Amino acid sequence: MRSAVLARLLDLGETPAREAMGLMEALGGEMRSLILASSAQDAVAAVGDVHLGVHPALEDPDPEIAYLAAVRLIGDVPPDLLLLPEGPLFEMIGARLAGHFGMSAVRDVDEVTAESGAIVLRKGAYGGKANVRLRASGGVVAGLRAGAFPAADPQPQTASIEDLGPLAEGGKERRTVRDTSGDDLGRAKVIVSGGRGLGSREGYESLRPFASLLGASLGASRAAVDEGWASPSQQVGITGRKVAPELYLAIGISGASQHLSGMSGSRTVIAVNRDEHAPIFEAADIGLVADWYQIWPHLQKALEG
Amino acid sequence: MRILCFVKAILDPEAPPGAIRFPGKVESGDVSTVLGPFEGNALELALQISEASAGSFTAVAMGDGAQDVALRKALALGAGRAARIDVATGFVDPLGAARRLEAAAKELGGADVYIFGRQAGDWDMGVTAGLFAGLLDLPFVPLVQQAEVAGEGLRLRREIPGGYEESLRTGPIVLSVTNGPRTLMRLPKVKDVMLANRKPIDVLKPAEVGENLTLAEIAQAQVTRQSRMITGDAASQAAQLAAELRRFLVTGGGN
Amino acid sequence: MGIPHRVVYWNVPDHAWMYLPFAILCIVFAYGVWRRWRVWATGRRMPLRPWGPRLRRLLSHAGLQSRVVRRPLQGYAHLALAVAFVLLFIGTVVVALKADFGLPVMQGAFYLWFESATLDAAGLAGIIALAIFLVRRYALRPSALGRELPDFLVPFTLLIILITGFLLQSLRIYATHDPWGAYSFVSYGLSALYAAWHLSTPAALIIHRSLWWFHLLLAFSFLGAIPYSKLFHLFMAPVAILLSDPDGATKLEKLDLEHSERLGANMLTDFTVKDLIDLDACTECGRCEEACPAFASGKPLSPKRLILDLREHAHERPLEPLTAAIKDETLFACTTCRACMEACPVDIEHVPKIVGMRRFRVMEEGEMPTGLAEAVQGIEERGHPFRGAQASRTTWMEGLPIREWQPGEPCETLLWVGCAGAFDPRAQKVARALTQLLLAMGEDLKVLGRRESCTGDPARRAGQEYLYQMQAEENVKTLKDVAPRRIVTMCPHCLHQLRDEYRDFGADFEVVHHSEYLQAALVTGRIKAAAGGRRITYHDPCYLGRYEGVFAAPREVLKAAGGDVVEMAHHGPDSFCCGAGGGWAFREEGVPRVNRLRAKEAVATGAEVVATGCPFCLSMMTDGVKAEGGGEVEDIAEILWTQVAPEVTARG
Repeated sequence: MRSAVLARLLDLGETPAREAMGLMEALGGEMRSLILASSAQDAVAAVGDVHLGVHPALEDPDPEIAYLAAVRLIGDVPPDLLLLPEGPLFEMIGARLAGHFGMSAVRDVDEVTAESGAIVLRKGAYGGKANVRLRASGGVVAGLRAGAFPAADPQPQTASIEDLGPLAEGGKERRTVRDTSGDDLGRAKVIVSGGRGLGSREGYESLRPFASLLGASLGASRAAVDEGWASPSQQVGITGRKVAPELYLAIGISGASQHLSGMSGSRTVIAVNRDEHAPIFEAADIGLVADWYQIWPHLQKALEG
Repeated sequence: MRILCFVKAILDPEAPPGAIRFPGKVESGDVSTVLGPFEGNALELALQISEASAGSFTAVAMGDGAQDVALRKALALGAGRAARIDVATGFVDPLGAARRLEAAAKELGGADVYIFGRQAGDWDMGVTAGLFAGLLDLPFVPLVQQAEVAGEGLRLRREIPGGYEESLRTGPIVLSVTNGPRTLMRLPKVKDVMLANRKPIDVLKPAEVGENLTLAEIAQAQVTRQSRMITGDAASQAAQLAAELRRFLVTGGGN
Repeated sequence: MGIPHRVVYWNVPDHAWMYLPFAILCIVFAYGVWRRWRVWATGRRMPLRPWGPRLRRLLSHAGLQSRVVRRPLQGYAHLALAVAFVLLFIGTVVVALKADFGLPVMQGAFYLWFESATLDAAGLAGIIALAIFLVRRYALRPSALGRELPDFLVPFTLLIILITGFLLQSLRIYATHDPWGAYSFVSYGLSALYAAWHLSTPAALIIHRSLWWFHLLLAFSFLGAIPYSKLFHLFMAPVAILLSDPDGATKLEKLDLEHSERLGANMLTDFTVKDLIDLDACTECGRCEEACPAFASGKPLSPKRLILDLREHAHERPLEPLTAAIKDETLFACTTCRACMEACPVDIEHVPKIVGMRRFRVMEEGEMPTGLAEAVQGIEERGHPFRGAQASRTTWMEGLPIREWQPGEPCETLLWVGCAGAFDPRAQKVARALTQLLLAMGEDLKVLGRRESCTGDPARRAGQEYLYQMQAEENVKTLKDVAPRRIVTMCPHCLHQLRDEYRDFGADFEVVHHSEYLQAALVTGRIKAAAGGRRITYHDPCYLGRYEGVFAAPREVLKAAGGDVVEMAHHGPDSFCCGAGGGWAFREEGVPRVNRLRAKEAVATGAEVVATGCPFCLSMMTDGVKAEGGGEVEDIAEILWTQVAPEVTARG
């Protein structure tokens, strides 16, 4: 079997990329590491044959640029299994590459096995209420769930460098804005998340000093994002972002099943909610039936003192 | 602009735990079928673009008659036409799905903007829009939160980690839409709902396509934990919580 | 001395000139009425038969002012003023009969006892009443009363008219040495003062004559102002009362969805004639505002302001949409508790107007507050409004020896559980307690289970009439298939639908609230309760009390359960909403919350237990009472079951 990992050079130091390489090693066969880079680099820590595709726009790429670069780097013969860490790169180009190469695509994969010659991928479905195993009879692009696979320890090795040359234009007048909520929830050790139970934007904002006391990133439920209290990139849930922090605090979140699934990778979950019957308590290690506004003044004093 | 918006009705994502069971297959019990939440966001965006460009949009679903819930909603919100690709309900390889949608899009005369919800809440695949873009070789912008018509093009805002990207795109394009304040589906007007119930839904024959993925197994997932409750009045609850948090910050390897 | 009489138009030889201002008055008055009439005439006609209950209500509410006098001080003062002016009006007519038609009516005993003594008493009573009004408005300054210029001018002008009337009469008595003057006892007293002051007769004549014209012109101005001010209530309040719905407008109008040009109200023409007359019937007394839970909790709704804003709109911008007058936040703040309508002395119907306008906003414009929109969507998609519910329709009855009704089988007693009883974990316990009680009574009991669906009440109150009608039609169809002997329900909202509003959809079932059914069973001895002894206060749910008129049964049940029932400041028809009505059960409320205000009252009674008979009240009161540091909140079925269970066990 021919498998390949596709990643950005910038992300190679991160666990998810190393996990993808770990999975590739475990599966064995013909291995390629396809790395998108904004500048050439001789030695790259990766697994298998290492190919570096270089284009200056890959620093912070437009989806169109990233896609065209990846198509050129993959070449005419795609692998049977193309692995990408779940995240923004997969979001931009994973499925589109699959369509281009006539492959199928699966994301949020947390287990890959070889069964009588066929690759079987496991993922969640129905808002995390079910797990499915999908058998591949043709090429597949897979997005891998962070934390689900043992990481490889790739050693620096010489890469074959390909100048990707001129690429078609992406979007015009492009600009990116990364605001204060720019914490990457995927890497956060502690997350404080707020939901509709906080009642208002001001209520949600009251989590900010709490999060900064804990050195935590700020997350949100779908309801808080729909209300516009938090930005979409802060949304935790299977339909938003999957997180796996050491500690997850859910404040005023009742616990829709997709949210529970999105936070299920957390080591410890603490929930504060006024409704003692809220489903969040089913998925928490520690629960407080309480009004956050009653708790917070005391808690602030205790934590600051 | 000509717009095709792909919608899907799914088993109620808010059904209580255990109402849908997965003993090797999907047993839906008496759980109702509803428009998927991200498809609601997609419809809203389709409506905004069609209003701003003085156009109309066509809604397309794939599945059996249960999908009419989604198409009726689309019609009530202002879709000019609704079509259903008639296939049996159940798992479909997303590549196969995208190929059938591609065929249907051709049959319906193509479009300038193809709009998908970010992810359908049944199989949670979230790849059909990208696959479709790859098959048609069209640009693809994922996780769109906001779209404005700007001349011949669209000014799109999409989610990126910790913020957003804005850009102007012209020419045919495929979008996947995520939730946010600007894509919250509006309530259809009752007159339109009543009219929508009388409008026809075109039934399309599915294209013959090959599949790369088959469903090997489906099983119930476990997300519950044993929970310890901290009780008392607010002051004592806060004190106990503070103690837990301090213990965690010291030993739990926090920041 | 001859027959007792007095000279009409004494000392005013040029009195014939008064017909000129009188003619002007008539024109101004007629124009004012026509201006209002123009607005009323655009309203939708509504059915008026049967007249009987309407006339009874007219007699009680307008004639005897039975609602006005619920506030004794200002109430009886108002009644006195009204009676005084009717008498004074009759007195003036008598003068006209004599002066203009030459009828010999101003003489004899009638002249002495009515035209003199009674009218003096009436005038004095009027002055006292007006003094009370002025002191209340300007010294006690209740916030529900306005203090704009017209609010002052109306009572002040009346006061001046009455005082100058007495001055005129007393000057005449003084100057003419009227032998029958003493019958006009107030004026007679005043004339004694002039004697003491040695007022000269020529001076008295000059003052009298000038004052006569002043009095006349002031009175004409006052009369002319009637159709242009809140004084119009003199005429329009009785009309509003006569046209008010005999059932208290508890049932909302069934909207013709197919044929209505517009769904709901957004133009004045979408209101009924009664709705439009209401606007001119308002006296701005502010009692609705004082009763309103939304207003009390700081929400942007005052029922009084709403009516006045609509009145202003009707007079100044009659052709513009109502959205210009009433904001969405105001419309959706209403809990539909009907406290305003219960308090209104002139039977203004606020809630149907509010729901009418909601209907337009929701069905024609797709506007609905978050929380409520999700709840209504829940009814549409899964047949109940409880978002994120963890239960199914039958979870609550696990382990109890009852089952779902099966097609084809007869049904004696059907327990209509309601969505709260099925999906709200707290209300599930009530459903279980009630079921155990009914089983202990030996009832042949069935539930609909999966066949039960929301009655649609939250959708209807929110203005989503279309969804409501679909739910109603579906449920009536199901119930006709089941054909139960009787339906018992633990939810007052379901009760109101099944018993009353569903009649418009062809339903005709015997439907009782569980409090009524349990009380009857206690009376006939079908269940027996062990002695209790807890101090209990009972919170009247709006839809059980004000909507369905059930006040006694739940209290009887509590007493039978050995409770020592104490009442809150607001109870019975004056009960104060828990804050859940009108869709608020599903919305996030700001601070202060209505349930906290109500819980304060409950806790103040010193009761150990707060009882209620509605799952929504139960939930709101539980939160509120907990926050206010009170005791338990329980449904009457739970309280009774606690006392009945040992008896059942003892009997084996």
